[in-house]
Amino acid sequence: MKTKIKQLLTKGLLKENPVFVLMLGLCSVLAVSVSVINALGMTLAFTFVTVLSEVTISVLRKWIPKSLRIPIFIVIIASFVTILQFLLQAYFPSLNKALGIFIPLIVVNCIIIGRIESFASKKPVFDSILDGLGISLGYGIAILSIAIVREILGNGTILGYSLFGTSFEPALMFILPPGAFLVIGIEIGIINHVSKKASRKEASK
Amino acid sequence: MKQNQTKQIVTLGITLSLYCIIAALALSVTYSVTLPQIQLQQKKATEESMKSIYPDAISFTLCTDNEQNPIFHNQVIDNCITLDCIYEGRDQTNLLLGYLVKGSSLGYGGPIVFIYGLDLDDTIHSVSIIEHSETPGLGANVIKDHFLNQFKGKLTSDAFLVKQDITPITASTITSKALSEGIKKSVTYVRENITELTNENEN
Repeated sequence: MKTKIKQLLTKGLLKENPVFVLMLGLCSVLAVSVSVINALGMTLAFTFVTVLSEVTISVLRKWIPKSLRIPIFIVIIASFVTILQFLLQAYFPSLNKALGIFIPLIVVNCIIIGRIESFASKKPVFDSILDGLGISLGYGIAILSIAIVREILGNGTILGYSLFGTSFEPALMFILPPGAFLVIGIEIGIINHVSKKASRKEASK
Repeated sequence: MKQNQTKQIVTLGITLSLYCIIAALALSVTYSVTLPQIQLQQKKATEESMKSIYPDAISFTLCTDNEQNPIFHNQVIDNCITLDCIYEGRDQTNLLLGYLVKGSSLGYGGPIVFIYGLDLDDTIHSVSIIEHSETPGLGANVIKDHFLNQFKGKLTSDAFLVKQDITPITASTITSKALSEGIKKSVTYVRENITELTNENEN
């Protein structure tokens, strides 16, 4: 049981990382990873929607007819996204200002619908919660690791604090879309290299 | 066989409607709970924008008519442009600094809610965007200073035409046009319909 929990929570980190390995949801990752604070906010919003949608669908999975599952998934995800939007507007206006235009993107974020289709619609509630948390963790780590590099190189700051003083000339390219592609490509390359090395080591044992 | 099929379609239809009804209920409950708070935040955002336009002003009063109704409230100027309301900005000595015109114009992704200061000498003081839902990376640059600063100090009689006296945001002509036209048409309307807008301070 314990190993199962651990496995469900950690598989999103590397083995099934939604961004680096499954290459899903890249659109939102590219758009939001401009600054660390945006990435954190997006991760929180994403976790909220993923976990709640996975739980709801896992509870209802016996009452969802097979031929209707996609429209029902979309209705449920879209409802949670809209609820989240109201909550942000009402209680976190500054986060809403930064993230407001990206929140609707969560509806069409293929990671969520992918997890629901392949996991939550078949597995019990507890497993689905863990799966949602694990995937969100993997998404968060991916988007944060990209945002940290982009904010430091492209803006010379981290969480808004200046790192190098005024003499530092930031490479603006990194906060523009090409920089996002570069950073994401390099990080995927590093991860592939490391995991290949690890699996070769395992094989030679 | 045929009856079976009809029955199946009806069952599916009912199931899907049930899910939609429940989702709609959940949304309407959240909406009604959060609405007062959202309106409060919007009011705050408007006040902050007004402060950034006239930092010297200490009071902003809504302009009302004789029956205490806000003037120009929800006044439709054309299909896409609506006036919301007008405020007077005054400093400590109660001197009228200018008028603040709040309105909205339909952009690419939805209404762009703007507020701008209208100085007594018929120039635009500065523009601030309160709310918009333009495309990130393109139209969303409407909030950037390098675009908004172009409106600073413009005469109300200027053309406000994109690609003539307004440099549009790269690849976002619709958004740029929406804001320029919104400002031009609303300011023209206000100038034509408000008589008190004459130099009150001289009296």
